Amino acid sequence: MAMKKKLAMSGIAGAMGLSLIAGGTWAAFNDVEAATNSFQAGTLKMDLSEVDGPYTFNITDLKPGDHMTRKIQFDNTGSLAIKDVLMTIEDVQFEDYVPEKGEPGFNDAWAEEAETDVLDYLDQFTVDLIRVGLEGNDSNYPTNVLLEASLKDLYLASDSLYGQPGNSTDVSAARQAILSAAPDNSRLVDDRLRVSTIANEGWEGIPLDPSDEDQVKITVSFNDDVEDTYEDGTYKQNKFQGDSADITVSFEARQWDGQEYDGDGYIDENERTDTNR
Amino acid sequence: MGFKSKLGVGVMSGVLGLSLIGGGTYAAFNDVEEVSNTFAAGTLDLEVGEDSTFEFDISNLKPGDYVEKELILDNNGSLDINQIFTSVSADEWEDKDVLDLNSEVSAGAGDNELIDFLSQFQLTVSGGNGLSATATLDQAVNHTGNSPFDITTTDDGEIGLATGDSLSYDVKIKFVEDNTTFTDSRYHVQNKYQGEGATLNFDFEATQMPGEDRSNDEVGEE
Repeated sequence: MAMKKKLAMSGIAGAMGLSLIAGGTWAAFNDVEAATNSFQAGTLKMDLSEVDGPYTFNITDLKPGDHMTRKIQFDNTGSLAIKDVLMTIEDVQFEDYVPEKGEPGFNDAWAEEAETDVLDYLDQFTVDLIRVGLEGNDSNYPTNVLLEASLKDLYLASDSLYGQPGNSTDVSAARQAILSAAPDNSRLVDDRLRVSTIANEGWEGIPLDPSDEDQVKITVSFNDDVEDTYEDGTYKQNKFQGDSADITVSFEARQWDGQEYDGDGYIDENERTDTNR
Repeated sequence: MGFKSKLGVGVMSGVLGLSLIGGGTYAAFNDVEEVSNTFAAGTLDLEVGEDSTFEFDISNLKPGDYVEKELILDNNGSLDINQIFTSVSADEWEDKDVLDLNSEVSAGAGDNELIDFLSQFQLTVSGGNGLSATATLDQAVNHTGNSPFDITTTDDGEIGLATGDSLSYDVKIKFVEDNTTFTDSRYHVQNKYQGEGATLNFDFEATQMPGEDRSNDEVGEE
């Protein structure tokens, strides 16, 4: 007790000393008011998930006429509504097969022309993109995003991170071709494909409220070209035997534009599409 | 109790002694005049007005979002206020890497400090006696840039907020939008702030007017 009292006393003495010093410098009276506010950023996060099987293609031993389909589901796993999802081909790693002596095809007519490039090879493939995600009162379901586009055009038209994959004449021709393959031109944004829902009241993009997932079905077909033949009757398409391409596709989820909020607390509106706030 | 009454007795005997001496020296007539002086200190009282919307707690913000709030400061004291100084501090922040940029982009890409997070918010204050200032919150905390300091915009000799008056300010805080991406990546650098938050403490210090010669004040004047 005595100890405590002494401590308190010295505390007062200390305070007095302080106020005396302050008094010497300033003219003493002041008042301090405090106001506190806090703010926290939300999260914008999208995950890809599988629908009835894997969403990546890893297929070998393809032959002309083959086709393969994949479904990709876009899940919103953040706290903010996603405005749209943009798809683009970022990169293609091409491996050319030129038969050496003793290897398959070395004695065939196509071996002379076996040196092919990535664009020739991608031109052998056709892509269909269809939005199939089931959601509330959508009369446009399923929606065609891209019909019978050449994989070569899709690659050339892409706004790749690593620059344009071809010269500007080829790129603009390819962009024109992709535009004609897209039934709805608003599907193209900054030379990327908008694969999420558009113009569907309340469901545009990938909102959290109401909860929504968009699904896209991608079908890739290996064209069967029986027109072009060599003199001996073998198909020119044979020159693509053994070739392979590794394609990197990116899907970017984008946020809605910023808005003013005069309320307080958690911004529920940010879980909804812009037209549904 | 015992101590207190002893003290009382001591004082009484002191007074008695004094009066005995007095009685011995002077006789009878006297006159006593009384002068009463009053030195009543005034009150310097700044209050955040009731209609202020400045205290808020907002979450789930995205870049581009902003809040517009009103700050009202009332002088509820009996003394005029000269200047009102602001100081801002921030706490309750925690670094987060929601998108796992440290592995998706490069090591360190998802890391940031409190001061970096604060730099993503722009503070615009206008109103009062003609204040107009814009600064990022990190500047406000560090008193750098154009961050508002004396929000009365008056100097040492001028009344900033007279007794009974109020000052009203429009305060806008905006989560700025920055589309810069990491090199060779689609990820925007700003993604590293996802999910982060902070609490801002604004202190408003009101100062008194300089001391004056009050010799000529009328009696009863304050």
